[in-house]
Amino acid sequence: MAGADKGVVAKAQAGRGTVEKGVLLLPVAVALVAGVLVPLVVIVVASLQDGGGAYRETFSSSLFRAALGRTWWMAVIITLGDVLIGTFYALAAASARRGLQALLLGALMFSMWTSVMVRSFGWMLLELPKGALYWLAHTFFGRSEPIELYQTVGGMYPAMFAMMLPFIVLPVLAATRNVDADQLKAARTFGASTWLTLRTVTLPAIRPAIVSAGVLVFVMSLGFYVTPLLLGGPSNLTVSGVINLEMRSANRPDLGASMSVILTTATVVVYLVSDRFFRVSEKWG
Amino acid sequence: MAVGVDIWQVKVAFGALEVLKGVDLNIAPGELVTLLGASGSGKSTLLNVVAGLLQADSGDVAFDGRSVQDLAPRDRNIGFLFQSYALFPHLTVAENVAFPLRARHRDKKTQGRVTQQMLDLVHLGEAGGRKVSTLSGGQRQRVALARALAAEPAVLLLDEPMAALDKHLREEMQVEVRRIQRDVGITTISVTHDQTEAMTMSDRIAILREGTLVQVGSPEECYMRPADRFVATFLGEANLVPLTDRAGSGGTAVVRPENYTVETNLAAPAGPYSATGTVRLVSYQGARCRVEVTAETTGELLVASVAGTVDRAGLAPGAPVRLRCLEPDKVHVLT
Amino acid sequence: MTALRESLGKSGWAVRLAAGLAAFILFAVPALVLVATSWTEQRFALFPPKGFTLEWFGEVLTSKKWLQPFGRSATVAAIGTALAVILGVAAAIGVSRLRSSRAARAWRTVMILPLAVPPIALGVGLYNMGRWLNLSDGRMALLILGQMISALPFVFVLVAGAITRLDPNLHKAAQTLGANSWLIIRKVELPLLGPTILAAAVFAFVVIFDEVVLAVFLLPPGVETLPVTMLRASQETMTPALTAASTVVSLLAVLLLGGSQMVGRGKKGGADAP
Repeated sequence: MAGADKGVVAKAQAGRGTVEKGVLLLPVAVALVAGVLVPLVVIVVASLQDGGGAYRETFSSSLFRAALGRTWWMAVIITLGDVLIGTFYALAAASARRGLQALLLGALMFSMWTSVMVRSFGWMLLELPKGALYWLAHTFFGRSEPIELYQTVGGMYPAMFAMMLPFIVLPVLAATRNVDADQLKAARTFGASTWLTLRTVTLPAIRPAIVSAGVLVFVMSLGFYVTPLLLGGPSNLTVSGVINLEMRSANRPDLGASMSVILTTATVVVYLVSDRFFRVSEKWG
Repeated sequence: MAVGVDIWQVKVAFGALEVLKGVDLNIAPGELVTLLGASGSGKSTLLNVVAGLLQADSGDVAFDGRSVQDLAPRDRNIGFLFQSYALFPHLTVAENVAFPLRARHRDKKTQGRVTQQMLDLVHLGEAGGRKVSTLSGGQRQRVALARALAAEPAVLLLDEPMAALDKHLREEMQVEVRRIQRDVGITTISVTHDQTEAMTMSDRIAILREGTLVQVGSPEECYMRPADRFVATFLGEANLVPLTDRAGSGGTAVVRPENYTVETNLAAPAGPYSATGTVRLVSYQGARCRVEVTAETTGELLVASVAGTVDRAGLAPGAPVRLRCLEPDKVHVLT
Repeated sequence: MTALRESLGKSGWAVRLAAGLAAFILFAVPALVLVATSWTEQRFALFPPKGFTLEWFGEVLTSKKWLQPFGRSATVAAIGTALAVILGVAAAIGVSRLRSSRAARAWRTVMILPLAVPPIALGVGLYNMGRWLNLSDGRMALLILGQMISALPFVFVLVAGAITRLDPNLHKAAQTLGANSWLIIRKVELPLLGPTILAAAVFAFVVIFDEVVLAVFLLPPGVETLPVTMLRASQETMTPALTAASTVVSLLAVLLLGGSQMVGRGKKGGADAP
């Protein structure tokens, strides 16, 4: 028997699957390096070309500082709001009978399948000074002054809530399948109230999904561009909007690069840190 | 051309947990050996090592005297029957059975012929075109067995083959699988935690406990002459009666319940291994009657299994009785 | 789920009513307003529509101004989708083969990372990359690369999820039956993952087709994909032609995605095994 060549044998075994894994994983690794890592390195290099001057200018720019605060708070509010709405939306869909369930999921899916820009157009038509909201207020409440919502901070919020809602509802809805039906029944037979059952049985089962979906919504909201541009207007720019301005109107690619580095660092750090602690990538999807 | 299997000093650890602590087992060509043990005893781990699905930390496995340690599962020429059967849901019954032939690049004609032979062997000759999802549990098992045997593997491995079947079907399939194994003459290793299944199907039983083989032998040997107290109580029921010889250190007698009869006449002379006590519970089990007795000397529970019925009136709980050993020469003594 | 419904008791009604309202206000109303303005007889898109005409749909479906960007978007999306599906499916299968759970976890983290990179930063990076590499004609390739990356996490997550729902013994069974890796992928895994891969492909196509930020940065002046044309048009005036184009694109997406979901359901129902 071949007990002597143990080392060789073990090596042969370890090497067996490596070719397969290489063939499967190497192409995507190359694509990620070329399409994510290299561009990010490029902006870091571009932002440092004048020895850090771009960063000093960025941080002293009141336009950028205002945009940074606006973007941060917007992401916080959108995330918290959508986590709340989305969790109950998912619970409603999971607990609804067939017809209502189809309606709730259908509306959500149709919306998600429509492009962000087209959906923003819809909100624009609602919010324009003499748009659909004005028509509603005029017809039913006799209002005659135009609505002042378009191109304000308040104008961005409803649309942003709607854009991000599916990214909470779908993972949480998938997680409601982890709720143990027997535990729910047990809670009922012990006479637990609706609220106690929700807190002790349902929420613990769906909490990981809520947290990971919330983190991704937060990170995506930080980078949002189209909706704030269309609905918030030029006086309420987000960081992405300011970057666009520096790149395309002000012709300051160095500032565009430094701001991109700051924004990306924020999103990637938030993602990686929460992935480390909440296993975001494992619980999402 | 059946093949012998030699397992030599196989050790497996998952982290700090030693699952197999150096197992040696030699299986003769055409033999069916069952690995019997409780969950966590390492029996499934050993089967996976033989299949190559799991890598042993040390030791060796050889088929026909040649080590297979450096071979991938697909190169070991084995048939593996999974507990869940693992039939491919998108393929028909015939396509499932033909899969190992396709993997070996046999021509279409051979594939068709062998597939039909295999389906006939498991009495499913007409089912080739059916979808797997339309089969019953027993039929699925037959298809899985036909698939495992289709490429004429050297060794057949069965992982808890009956676990997903109900009791009636299980008994039928135990006999059926044994028939097919004999017909084909294939060396087989089966894993189970069901002692009846092990006794019914095996040429030899290998009993595992916490990663170590405690006894290997024919069903009769293991039952009649268990190696230790664990095997005695694990394989069937046993009364362990302590013996005290003159020196003060005695062995333990293993008296099977069917070797005891119950006597209410305490005046009669006592035979070897007999014991007195009081009735705790009498339960009827159809062909036999089970009497639980609290031993007078040790306070321990003793069990007698008596053929036919017993005089119930004399065996009310608390009644004093004697358990007499029917065949003292069949009592095995552990030292 | 009935048990969940019962656990919510009487408050369940309020929750479902609120969700219905949220669906109506957040999802239905903006879509309905947009669609309605596309048949107005006015020259500006404004709600409520005045009269009814299909003139704007006619303009969108015949004018080169809309059709040319549409064709370009479809081509770019087709190439990007093919790449995203090949790479994403290969990655999902490859990650399922990793023995070390730490390595698998690291790969998942990396595969979803592109979602966390702001599109505008990726756009700036790819734009600079193009300038430094002196790629004047290669910008289209950079665009496809970037858009493919933005769809990759969705493909990966969908397919990896479907792989974890496969019976792990199927893979082992195929191994013991003598199948090599390629045969297992081709004859066992890909057929079983088929409906999921189709759904992922359609989703990737729609994501790439609708992508606008990278396109704005990477396309040379005069070369536009449909979303770029629409964005530029919206910054001039909201015309009924623009809302008609939006309606057409959305309808196509809904038909495509809805259709792929139906196919997925149908297939799954047929091959269902306990």
